[in-house]
Order: sequence, then C-alpha cells, then structure tokens
Amino acid sequence: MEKRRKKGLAKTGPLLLIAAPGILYLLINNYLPMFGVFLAFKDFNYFKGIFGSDWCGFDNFNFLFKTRDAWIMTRNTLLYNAAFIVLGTVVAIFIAILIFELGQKRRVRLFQSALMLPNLFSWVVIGFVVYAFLNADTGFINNSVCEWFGLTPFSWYSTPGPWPVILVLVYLWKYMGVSSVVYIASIAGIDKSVYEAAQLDGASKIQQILKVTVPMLRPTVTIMVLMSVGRIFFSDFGLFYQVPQNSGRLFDVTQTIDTYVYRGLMELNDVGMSAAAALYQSVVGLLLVLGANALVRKLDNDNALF
Amino acid sequence: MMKQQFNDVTRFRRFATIVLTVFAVLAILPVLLMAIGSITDENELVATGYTFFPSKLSLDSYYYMVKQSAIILRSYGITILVTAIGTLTSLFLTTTLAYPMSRRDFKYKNALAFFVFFTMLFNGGVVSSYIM
Repeated sequence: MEKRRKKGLAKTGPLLLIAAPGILYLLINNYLPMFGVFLAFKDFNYFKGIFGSDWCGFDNFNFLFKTRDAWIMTRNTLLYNAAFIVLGTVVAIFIAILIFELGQKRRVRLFQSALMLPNLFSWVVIGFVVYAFLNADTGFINNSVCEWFGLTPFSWYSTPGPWPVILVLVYLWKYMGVSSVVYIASIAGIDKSVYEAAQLDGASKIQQILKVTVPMLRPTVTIMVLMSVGRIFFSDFGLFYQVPQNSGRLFDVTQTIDTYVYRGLMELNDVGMSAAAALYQSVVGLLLVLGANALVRKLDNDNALF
Repeated sequence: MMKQQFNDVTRFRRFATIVLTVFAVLAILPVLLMAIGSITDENELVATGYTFFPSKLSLDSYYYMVKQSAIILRSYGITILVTAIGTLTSLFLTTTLAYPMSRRDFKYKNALAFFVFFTMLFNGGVVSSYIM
C-alpha cells in the first residue's frame, strides 16, 4: 500500500511536466483575458491602463441597460437563434430523410455535395453573394426579378422590414447541407427490422417515416437542440456583421450582442460599455450552458456534457 | 401487395429526387451568379446589373488578379502557414493535456480537467482579449 502510494506520487511530477505547455497556453490565452472582466466595472482610460483606471461600480451596466440597445440586441440574439434552432432542425431532418430515401449511392453523393457547397464559403464571401442579389443599382433582384414581375426596385440595404427573413434564409442556405449530416448518420443507425415490421403491418412509406424515422430521431434532436440552447446568447458574428454590409439603417433588426460589442469597441471606442455587454453575455451564456446541461442530465443522463 | 409497396417506394423516391433537385439548384444558383458576375464585363455589370446571361464577357478581373498575384500568393501563404502551424501546435497541446487527464493515477486529474473545462464555459470576451 505504502509502496504504491509512493509510486503514484512519483508520477505526478512527470505528468505535470507533460501537461505544462498546455496549461501555460490556457493561462495566457484564456485565463489572462478574464481579468479584462474588471473593465466592465471601470471608467477605462488608455493612459491609466486596466488596473490604474478608476472604478465606477455598475455605471457601465446602468448606461447599457438604460439605452434601447440592450433590449434590441438581446431580443435579436434570442429570436434569431430560436428561429435558427427550430427551422434549422426541421429543414435538416427533412433533407436527411429525403437523402436517405434516395437509395442510389451516386445520387446521394451528388445531392449532398450540392447542398454542402454553400458551407465552403466564409461569411465575407457570402456577404458579397447576397450583395449581388440585393444591391440597389446592380443587384439581381432589382434588375431582373423586379422587371419580370413588373415590381418597382427596392432599396434593400436601408429597409429593415425584410431582413429577419433574409438572414434566416441565408443561414439555412449556408448550413442546411452540413446540419443534415448528423441526422443522416442517425437515420442510418436505425434498425432495419423496425421498417420490415412496419411494412408487414402495411405501413406506407410516409407512415414509416412519420411513425418510425421521426420518433427514432428524438434523442439526436434533443441533444442537438440543447447544445444550441446553451449557445443561444452567442450569435454568428459574420452573419450579422458581413451579410447586412454593416448598414446603420438595419441595426434595429441586425444588431446582436456580438456585433454590439464589436462596434462599441472598434467604432465608438467605448471600452467600458463593450466590456459590460461582453460580461453580460458571458455570464448569462454560462448560466444557460449549465441550465441546458442540467436539463439534459434529467432527460438523458448518458448525453450530459458534465 | 408486393407490387403496391414497390410503387410506394418508387413514388417516394421520385418525390425525394424532385424536392432535393430544387434544394440543390437553390444552393448552387447564388454561387453561379457570383461566378458569372466575375466574368461579366465591368461596364455591362454597371449598366444591367448581375445577370445569369450577360451579353458581354471579359476576363479583366482575372487579369487584375494575376497582376496582383504577389499579394494574393502571399495571403495564401499566410493562410496555409497559419493552418499548418496551428494544427500542429493544437495537436501537440491537446494531446499533452489529454494524456495526464487520462491517467487514473494522476493526482491532479480532476483539477486539470476543471481547469481545461472552465475555459469552455467562461471567457473574458472580445474586449478583454483585444485589450490584452
């Protein structure tokens, strides 16, 4: 017993040494910036530095929540993410079922490659693709589509109204192929004998899908949805910054917490307020991850993250 | 009985093919418009806008790219370098962190796991990373 303990302790040193580079990296890259959280409570001054600046208590938060910005960006972040979770899941499952029912390997590969194509482009490039469609002077919609249907050209980048729909469509366009892969894999994992039994009972193809495939996907859907719920306070920065071309007229419907923090920092140089918004996001995000995990653990213990 | 089931399957297969074709076309068309836009003549583009059937083609933008090839190649070089070094470094750091965590006889196993996991849950945010 004594000997074993001694042996175990002797290994601690070398093992710590092995982990040292990783620990050092995390300290510098992830833990050091956490001190920046203090900035949210300080009246930041570049000359005085982070620790030299004067404390201002909750002033930054007071300012943040007094403006309409806090409400707008929280609402946008939550609603867009909710739409992405619901529509993204439905579209992904729909495509996964269709692709799985194709049967022919060649067709499956063809359609999958086509649907995955948009995901190869970064948001900057997609921003330009959208611009090619919506641009007021040379855009495809204003020049061609409006002409076909005899509509008057429309100034897309200064009208907030259609943007929620546009952003959701762009999101689905980019991610539909990739997100369906998970569901294709879990459909492939369903026991074939269940379908045979359903066929013997005289179930039609559509009945088989609705009564066998969809219920069997439930565990996968639960996990995927809860994982995105944990991230619901964080938005896809590129989608909300690059795709609307940073147009100020659209801020009411395109501002999310991430873009607000970025704009506050880069354009307004309001360090304190940005830090306050970022801390607000981090803390609520942390609570949501813990909450989502607690929920998963209750529903399905094996799939809990921790 | 058998025949009816066969019909059912083929009919659904046909439906799936048609719907997926629509989705695939929708996925590809915007990219195609962009590609055609890149070989459309500049003046033509300003006059009639982006279209799938431009009346005048030109490779000017590609000539321009070749002329600027020094910058573009350099950017690609940086991208490739960052990816290569980034992958190697992260592989090194994650494996060296994971090995002690996998050892049951390591005294600080749980402490290390928490240390790593906490960074996934909480971070200082963009502002502090930028200032740092």
